[in-house]
Amino acid sequence: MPQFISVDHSVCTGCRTCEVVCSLHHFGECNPARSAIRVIRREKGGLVSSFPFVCQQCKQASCVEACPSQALSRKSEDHPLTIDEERCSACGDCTDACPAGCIFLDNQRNLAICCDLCGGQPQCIPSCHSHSLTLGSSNEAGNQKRIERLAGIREAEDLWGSVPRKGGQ
Amino acid sequence: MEYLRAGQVLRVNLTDGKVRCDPVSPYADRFVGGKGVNLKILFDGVERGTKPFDPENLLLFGAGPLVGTPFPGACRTDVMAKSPVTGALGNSGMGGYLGPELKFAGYDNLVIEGRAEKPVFLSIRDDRVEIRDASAIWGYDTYETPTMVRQELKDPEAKVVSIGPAGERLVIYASILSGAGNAASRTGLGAVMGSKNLKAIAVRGTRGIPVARPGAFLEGCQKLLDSIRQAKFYSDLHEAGLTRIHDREMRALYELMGSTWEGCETICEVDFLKEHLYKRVGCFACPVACFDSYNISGVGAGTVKCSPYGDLTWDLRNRDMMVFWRVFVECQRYGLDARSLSNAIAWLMELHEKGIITSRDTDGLAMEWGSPEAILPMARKISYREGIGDLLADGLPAAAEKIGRGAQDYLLITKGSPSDMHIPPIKTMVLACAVSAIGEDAQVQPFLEGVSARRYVRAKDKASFEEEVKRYKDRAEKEVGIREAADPRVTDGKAALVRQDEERTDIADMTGVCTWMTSFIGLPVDAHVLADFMALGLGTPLKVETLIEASLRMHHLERAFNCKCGLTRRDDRVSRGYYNRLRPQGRLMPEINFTEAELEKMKDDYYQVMGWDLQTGMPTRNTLEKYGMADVADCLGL
Repeated sequence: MPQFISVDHSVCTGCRTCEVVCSLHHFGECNPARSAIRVIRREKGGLVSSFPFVCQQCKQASCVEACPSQALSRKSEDHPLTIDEERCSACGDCTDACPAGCIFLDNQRNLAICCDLCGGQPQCIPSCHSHSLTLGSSNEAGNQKRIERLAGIREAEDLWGSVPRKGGQ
Repeated sequence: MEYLRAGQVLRVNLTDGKVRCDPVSPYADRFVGGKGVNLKILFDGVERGTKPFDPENLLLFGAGPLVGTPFPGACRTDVMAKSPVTGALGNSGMGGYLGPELKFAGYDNLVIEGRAEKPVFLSIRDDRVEIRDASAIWGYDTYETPTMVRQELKDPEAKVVSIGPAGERLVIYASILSGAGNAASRTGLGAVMGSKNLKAIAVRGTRGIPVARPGAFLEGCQKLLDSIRQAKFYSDLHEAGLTRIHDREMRALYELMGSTWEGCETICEVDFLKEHLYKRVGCFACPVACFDSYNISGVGAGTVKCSPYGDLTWDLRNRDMMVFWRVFVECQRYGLDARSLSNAIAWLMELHEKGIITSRDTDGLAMEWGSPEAILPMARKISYREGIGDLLADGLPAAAEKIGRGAQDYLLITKGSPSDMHIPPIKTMVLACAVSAIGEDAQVQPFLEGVSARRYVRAKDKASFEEEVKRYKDRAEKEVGIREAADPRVTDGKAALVRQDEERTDIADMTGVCTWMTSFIGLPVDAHVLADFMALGLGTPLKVETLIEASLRMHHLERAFNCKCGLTRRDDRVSRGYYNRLRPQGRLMPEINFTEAELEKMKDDYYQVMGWDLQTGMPTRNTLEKYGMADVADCLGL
């Protein structure tokens, strides 16, 4: 069964530990701007909301379809999305295509960055004190719904401005 | 490559608009980071005669070496300046997101110098540093300002701290706040920011903080998180912040002080939490998330933890939790320290009760204990300097002088700083407050004497007391080497207990970790843990002794800065209000209170432990040289 990181936004306290754990694990540095999971925080009138976004490992992935250089692929249905670093030009078409903004650009290496499930043991999950992040197993029916739910949160909470997209906009 | 540190100190001069970057490395070994580095820059950069609101005063923000990593609770920003409250060191720490972001932008410390001609805000985006016009934002509160700044920068993710109307008007109890309720509230740093015409600071960073041994560091963090989760108080803290514990604590403190009042037992923080909690909110990398967030229709929204619940209820004899919430939200919006406000109102109420002032002195308000009519308008009055608020806004000692008629005898302050009204002045607490560089400091919570004093008050007789405190005495012997430290009747060992608390706080403040991760509330982070993680992060061995030595160096320098500002042993005192405050069941119990002679004795002990001169309270040249600070000794003319 293909796996993915399931997100419960309602309990997230916005500590951003997942972001730094992700970049620390992959790049040896703490840097949310190079993380495959992003916590968007919003402060309004004294209140705070936090929304983690991470690749949902869609079966029919808009990012894969949008990539002009076939840099994004999935070895098999059970594998997480992988990025061919030779092919990726960080054009940003994938970040534009993902309906929920769950794929990002690493401006240091000029590559797309996407959750690889840390080879099967996602580091962010045990680091999440609020249990906002858990490991989920996808199924045919739930697949599309997950990404639609996250896309809905993006829209409803007006969170698009925070995603580094095409051309560093 | 420099591990754990961003590498630079950013200096921004608001007078001439010049921006400069210095390397942090010359400070790093000796002062570690955060508060340590801030303090060294303050000591070297602020002259003896500089007044707090002079352009020459510095306002510093510092993030320690662990800040920005996933180390639990490594979120702190240390804020520092010469203080308008103490006339000497001004220092307050805040949680939230500013410190980590400052490091992601490439800076460990930020130094603001000079004064802008007109209102400005500072925007830091990696190496793009801009001083921008804030004329259109001036006047707005700390909820509105971050939103306006983000709109102006077209960056919804910018981390913003700002001052409100209180800071703009140089109210000396003004705070600096994030839009999420994180505050540097104590010692008037918001007023210093206001004096520089600096409305807000916005930071956004995209750089990384390298870790020498990422795998081991990460594994260590996860193990530490597990041990935090297993700690006795953790589930309580995670579910209800400190609120459930604080609710019990207020009852115990008032029992010890014997100043309960009719109806106080009906105050229930937990009920308020249950009924109104909107959600839990926390800081960067924090597994506790101690903030209670409320959104109460028609009253206001915001986040709160710990002390303000008691400050604005018990301490003012106010039973109405909604009055607490209304006033607290105003404090947050206006950028005013809630504890100082509570202390000021309680003082006026006491003066009113004693007939020293009447409603004619307080804009027609009868300052009667618990009166909502008296409490509700005060946050606005002080923040906007309206009527009686204008008098209070320049500080309680100045207000007492103007009122006269013995008003100063009722002040509860140390070094000019208004104290927490519900802190019982047991001996360790009094000593800690007296010798603290910033006056009363909530970070000092001497546990061992506190619990034994409660046991003493409740004990049937001496024998049963001895039986009950045996375990605390055992602990005192183990921890500080003096059994009697846990005896509330004697001065023995109190200096050692104060040092224990100071060391814990200092090390946390240097590395950038919240003291809430430590034994302060029963969690497992201590000097050994911090040294281990520093070593993993830096890739070089770091002995715990080295870290402790650095914390002592910082403590000597803190004292040296106050000496440079003219403070001496005489200033290590507490106001009259502290004396004979413990009256369990209304009966004065002299043995658990303190006398002037006892305080002086404890100060002697403390100075001896520290290697400070008994006459002047200054660090001796010998001590300063031992810690590699001969230059500091020269500066002090030792």
